[in-house]
Amino acid sequence: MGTYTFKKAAFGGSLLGALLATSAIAFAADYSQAPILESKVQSGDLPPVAERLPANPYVEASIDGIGDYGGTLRTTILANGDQYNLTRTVANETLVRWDTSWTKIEPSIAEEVTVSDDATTFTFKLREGLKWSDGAPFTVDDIMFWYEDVFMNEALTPSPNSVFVAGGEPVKVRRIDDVTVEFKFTVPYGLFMQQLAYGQGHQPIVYPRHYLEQFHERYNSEGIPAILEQSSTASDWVSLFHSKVSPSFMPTFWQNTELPTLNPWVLTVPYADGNRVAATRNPYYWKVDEAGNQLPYIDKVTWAKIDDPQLMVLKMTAGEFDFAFRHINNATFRSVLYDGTETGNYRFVDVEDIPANDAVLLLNLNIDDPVKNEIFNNKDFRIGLSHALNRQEIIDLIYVGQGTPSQVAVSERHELYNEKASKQFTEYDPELANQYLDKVLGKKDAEGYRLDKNGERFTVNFMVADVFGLSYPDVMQMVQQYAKDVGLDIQIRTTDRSRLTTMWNANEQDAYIWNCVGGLSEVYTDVRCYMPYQRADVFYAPEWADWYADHDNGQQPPENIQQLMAAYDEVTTASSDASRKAKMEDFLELSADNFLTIGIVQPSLKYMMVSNDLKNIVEPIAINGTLWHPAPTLSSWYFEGGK
Amino acid sequence: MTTHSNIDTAVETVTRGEDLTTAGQWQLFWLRFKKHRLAVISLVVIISLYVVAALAEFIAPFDPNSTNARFTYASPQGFHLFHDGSFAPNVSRLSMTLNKESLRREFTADPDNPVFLGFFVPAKPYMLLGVIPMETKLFGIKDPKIGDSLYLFGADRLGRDILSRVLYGAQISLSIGLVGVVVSLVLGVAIGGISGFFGGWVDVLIQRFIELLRSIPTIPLWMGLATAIPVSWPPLQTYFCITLIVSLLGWTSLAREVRGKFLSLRNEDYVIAARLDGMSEIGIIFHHLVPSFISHIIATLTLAIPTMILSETALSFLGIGLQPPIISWGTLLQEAQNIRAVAQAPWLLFTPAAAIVIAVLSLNFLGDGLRDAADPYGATT
Amino acid sequence: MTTLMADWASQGGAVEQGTVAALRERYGLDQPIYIQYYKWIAGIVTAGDFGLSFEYGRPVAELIWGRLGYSFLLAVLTLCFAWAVAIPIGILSAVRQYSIGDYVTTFLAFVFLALPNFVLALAVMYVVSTYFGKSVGGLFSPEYADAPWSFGRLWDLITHIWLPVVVIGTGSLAALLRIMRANLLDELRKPYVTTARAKGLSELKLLIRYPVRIALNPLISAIGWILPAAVSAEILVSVVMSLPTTGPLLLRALLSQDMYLAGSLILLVSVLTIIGTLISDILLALADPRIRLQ
Repeated sequence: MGTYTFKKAAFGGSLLGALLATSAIAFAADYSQAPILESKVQSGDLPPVAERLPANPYVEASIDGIGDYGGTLRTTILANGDQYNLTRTVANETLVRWDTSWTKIEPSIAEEVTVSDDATTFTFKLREGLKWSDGAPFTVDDIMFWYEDVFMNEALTPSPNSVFVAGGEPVKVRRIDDVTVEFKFTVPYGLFMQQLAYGQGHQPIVYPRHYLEQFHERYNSEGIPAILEQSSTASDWVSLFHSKVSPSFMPTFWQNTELPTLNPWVLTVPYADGNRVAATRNPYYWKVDEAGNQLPYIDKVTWAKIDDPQLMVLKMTAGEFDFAFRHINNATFRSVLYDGTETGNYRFVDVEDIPANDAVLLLNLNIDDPVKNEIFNNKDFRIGLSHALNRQEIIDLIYVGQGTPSQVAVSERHELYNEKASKQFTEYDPELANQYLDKVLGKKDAEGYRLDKNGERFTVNFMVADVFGLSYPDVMQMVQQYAKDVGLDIQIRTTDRSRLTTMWNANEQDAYIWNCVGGLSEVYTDVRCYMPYQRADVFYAPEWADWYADHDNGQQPPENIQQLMAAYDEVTTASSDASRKAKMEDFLELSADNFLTIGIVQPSLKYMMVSNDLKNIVEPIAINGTLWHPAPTLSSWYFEGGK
Repeated sequence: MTTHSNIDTAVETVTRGEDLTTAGQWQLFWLRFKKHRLAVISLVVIISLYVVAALAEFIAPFDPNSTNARFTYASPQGFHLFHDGSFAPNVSRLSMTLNKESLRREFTADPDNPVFLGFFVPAKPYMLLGVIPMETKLFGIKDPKIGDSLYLFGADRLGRDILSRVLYGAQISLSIGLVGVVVSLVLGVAIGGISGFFGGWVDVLIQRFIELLRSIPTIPLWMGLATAIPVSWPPLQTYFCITLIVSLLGWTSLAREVRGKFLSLRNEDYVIAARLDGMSEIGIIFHHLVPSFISHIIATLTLAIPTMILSETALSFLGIGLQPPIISWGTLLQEAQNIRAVAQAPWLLFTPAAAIVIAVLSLNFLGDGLRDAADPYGATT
Repeated sequence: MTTLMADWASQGGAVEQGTVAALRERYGLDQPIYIQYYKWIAGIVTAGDFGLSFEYGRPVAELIWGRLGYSFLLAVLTLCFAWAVAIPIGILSAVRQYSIGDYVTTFLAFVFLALPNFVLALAVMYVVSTYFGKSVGGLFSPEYADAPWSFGRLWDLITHIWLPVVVIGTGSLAALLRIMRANLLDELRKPYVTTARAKGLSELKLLIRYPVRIALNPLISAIGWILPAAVSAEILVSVVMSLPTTGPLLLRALLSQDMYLAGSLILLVSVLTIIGTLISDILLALADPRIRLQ
C-alpha cells in the first residue's frame, strides 16, 4: 500500500507518508495530574495517572508555557436550541483534527493514519490504552460497534451521514486488530480526511460499546422491555437508544450525564434541566502538556443559560463570564463590550471566522411564479441588481466599515481566492444597473417602477429575519432604496426564523437575505452557496439541490447548472491535493460565471472575549460552521495562578 | 361710560345666572369643562400633536429614512438661540472620529463653531398632505455644507434624525393605531353590557366565549395571524389588519369589567324604577347604566391607547409588526430595546417615550376633564 | 420538525433527509392532523401523557411543570406587588383628587405605562448591573443555580425575583391605579356617601366600608386572567431577563414548531385560566353581595 500525502501550500506541506503523532515523550513515570484527582487516587477511587493515560498520550503544545491546574471556566449559552455551542466548547475530539491554524490535518485519537494512493482506503491506528471517561478501554471494537450496529443499522440510521458516503455507497469499515481499523470506499474520496477532521467526523468515536449494548436490540433484546417500562421517554428500543446517545449532538446528547466520552470534561448538569449546564474534568482524558501534566488544566466548565444575547453582553461586562463568543461577537455589541473590558476583566481575541459572505441576496431561482422565475433566472437581472447596490455605504453604515464589498467568494486570505469571483459586478453604478435591467424589464410605470411582461409592477417580496446579529432589516432597507433608484420595487417582509423555514420548505419565498459559508478551507466540503447543493439553510434553488442529491427528486436543472455540479463531483473524487485544488479552482470559476447569488459584504475578522487571566489561547483562532473550535484546544487553556 | 359698563356687567351676571339654570346639557358641559384648566391645556396639546403629525413633512427637518454614515449614534446637538450676542439660532458642530477598536464613531461638540439654522429653508420637492407641492421646510441648516449636521434629539444607528422619525411616527401612532382602541371600546361596552344586564344564558354564552378568547396566550395567536396575512399585501394594509385583529381580541377585558359593573348595578333602585316606568332595556343600558360608570370607561380608554401603541412593539419584537420603511412610535421604542441604545444612546429610548407620555398624559387629563364635566354630581360652578 | 432540522443544519449539525422522515414517523407526524390530535388528547386524558418534545426528546410534562411553578409564583407576586402599591395610591389620589400627589402619581404611572416592559427590563437591568454592581438576569445566582433547595437558595431567589416583579408589575400598576381611582371617584360622588358622611361616619371607615369595596369589583373580575397574562404578556420580559418560566419555553416551542410542547403549554394555560375565572367569579360574589341576588 502506498502512502498519500496532503502536500500543498494550504496544508503547510505536512501530513507525512503516514500521519504520525509527532512526539512520543517517554516519561510514563513522570506524569502528573490535577490536585483534585490526587486525593481520589490516594483513596483508591481512581487508578494512578500513568494507568489512566494511553501509552502514547497526545501532547498539546503550549503557547504561554506550562499551566496551573484548577478553576472554573464560566461561559454562556442560549437557553434553547444552542447545543452546538456546548459541542464547540468541550466536545470536538475526532480521529484526526485540523491544526490550530486550519491548514493541515494532524493525528488526534488516531496516532497514525495511512491513506492509499487512490484515496479509497484509510487506515487508522489508535493510541494504545485510550480510555472512556468511566475508565473502560476505548478500542477498535467501539468503532466497529458504531459501524455495524449504529451506522449500518437501518432502524438507527435510516439514511447515512454524507461524510461517510462516496459514490453513493456507504463506507466499509474493517477491524484489523485492537488498535487498527480500515475505512474503505468504492470510489476515490480525497475529501474524507478533511471531512473527518471537521465536527461531523465525530460519529465513529462517540458510541461506547460497553455502555450502549444494554440499549441495543441486538445485544439485550430480553432486557430492553424492562428498561422501556421504566422510561418515560422511549416507546421502543430505537427511541431508547437515541435518548442515550443522539446522532449529531442533538439536544438529547446533552441530556445524558451517564454517557462515557473521550472529551476533556464530562457533563454533570444537563442542558434542558436547570439554569445552567455544567461539566467536570474527565480523569481519563488522553492528552498531556509538554511537561507530562494530564490535561485539562481547568477543573470545571459552566454555561449560564441565557435567553437573550443582550443579557449575555451585560453579564460579560459585569465580569460574570471568563469566555464568550457566539451570539454577541458582532459589530453592534462591540462598542458596549469595549467599554466593559475593565469591569469585566477580559480582552478581545481575533477570530478567523470568515464566511463567503455575510449578507447575500438569494433570489429563488426555482420559484413557481413563471414571470418571476424567468426574470430571476436571467443573469442580466441579477447583474443589474448587483450594480445597483452601494456596498461600501452599507458597510460603513451598518458594519462600521468592517468588511469589503464582495460577492459570494473565497476570502483573500485563502489560496483559492479568485479576484474575479469576489469583485465582479460589485462596483456601485446605477447607470450600468439600469442598462442591464432595461434588457430584462424595459417598461416603467408612472412612479418609475419597472413593469413585467404582463404590464404589472414587478415586485420582489424579500423575507428578512433579524438573525446572527447582522442587522439584516437595516441592510434590506438600504437595498430597498438602491433598488428604488433603478426602478425595482423591493418589499421588505420581516419575519421570525420559523416562518422563513416553513416557506423554504414549501418553496414559497420570492427571495431572502442570509449569510453564506465557504470563505476559507471549508469551501472544499461545503459548497452550498456556490451551487445548489443541500437543504440546510441556503435555498436559492431547492429543486435543483434535491435533484443533485437524488436524480429522482426535484427538477432537473439546465445544462449550465449540471456542468457546475459535475465540476464539484471532480473535486470530491480528486485523489491528490494538487489536483483537488485545481479542480476546486475550476469549480469556483464556473460558479462565478453562473453568478447565482448576489453578495454584499465579506466581513473582516470577528472576535471573542476571554478573561485576562486565561492563558494558552491561540490567536487568531480559526472557528467556523463546520470547524468546531476552540473545543480541541480548550483543554490546554489555564487560569494564571489556578484561580 | 362707567355706568354703562356697570350695567353691562350686571346684565352679564344676570344672563349667566339664567344660563346656569336654563342652559342645556351641552352648554353646561362646556362651561364646566372650561373650568378644568389642565384639561383645556391637554386639549390644545392634543390638537397640536395632530397638526404636527399632519404637517410632519413640513416640520421635520429631514426625511426620516435618510441615512448618514458619518453620524451613526450621534448625540443630541446643543441648541442655542444666540451667537456672539445676536439672534442666530444654531447648534454646536459635531466633529467625528472613528474608533477602530470599539467600532464606533465618537463625537465632540464644538460650540464655538456652530451650524447656523434658518427658517423656511429650501428642500427637495415634496407633497404636503399629499396635495400641496412644497419646496421648503419649516427649519433646517442654513446653507448646508459637508460635515454639517442637525440632530436636535440625536441620531440612530444609521444616522437618521430621531426628531424627524418621531414626527413621522406620530402619523401612524395617532391614526391607525387608535382605530383599534375605538373598535375595542365599542365591542367591550356593548357585549359586556349585554352580558351583565341580561344575565342568564346570554351571559353564560358570552362569558364562555370571552374565556375562550382570553385563555389563548396572545403571542401564538399573533404569530398565527402574521402567517395568515399574505406576503404580497402592502405594509400599511398588513399593519391595519393586525391592529384590527388585536383589537378584536382586546375588547374582552373591558367587556368583563363592564359586566361586573352591570351585575352589581342592575338591581339598583333607579334601574328598577326605570324598568317599572316601562323603559326599554336598551334604553336603560345606555341612559342609566353606561353613564354611571363613564369614569371607568374613560380610564380604560386612556389606558388602552398606550397599550395599543405598545402592543405593536411586541409584534415588532417578534418580527411581525410594522414593516420598514414605515415608522411608528412603537417601532422606534422597539429599536431602542438594545443594550447599545440603553447604555450609549439613551436618546433613542427617551425621545419616543417622551412623545408617548405627552400624548397619553394629555389624553388622560382631557379624559379627566370630560368626565368631571359630564358628572351630574360634580359641582356646577 | 423541518424548522428544527434547518436550525441545527445551519449550525453545522447536518441532519439527513432520511433521519427527518424517520423522526416524523416516530412522532406520528406522517399521519393526518386529526389523528395526531386525537392521539395527543387521548394520551393526556387517559394517561396524563402530554407527548414528547421534538427538540428535547423528553416528555413535555417533565419540561413544563417546574417552569409553570415559577410562572405562577411570578404572576402571584406581581399581582400582590401591583395591588399593594396601586390600591392605596389609587384611593389616595381619588380622595385627594387634583392634588400634587395625584398629579405626580398619575404622571409616574403613565411613564411606566408608556415604556414597553421588555424595554424597561433591559434598561433596569443595565442600571442595576452597571451602577449597583449586582448580578442581574435569571432568578438565581450562579452558585445556587443548580443547588438543592435551602434557606440560602430561597434568600437568593428573593434577592433576584423582585426585579422582574417590579418590571412586570409597573406596567399593570398604571392600569390598576387609574381604574381604582376612576371607580372610587364614581362612588364617592354618589348620594349614599354624602348621606353616610352627614350621619357622622368617620371618613376612613366610610371609605373602606363601601366605596372601596365596590371600586374593587372590576379588579376582582380580572384575577382569572393573571396566569395567561403572565404567560403571554410577560413572555418577552422573561426572554429579556432569562427567567426560568414558561414564557421563553413557549416562544422557543413556537419558533421551532415543537408542536406538542407548544400545544401543551397553551392547553395548560387555558385550563388554568378557566379555573382562575371561576375563582374570580366566586370572589366577586363574596365581595359584593348584590351580585348573588339573581
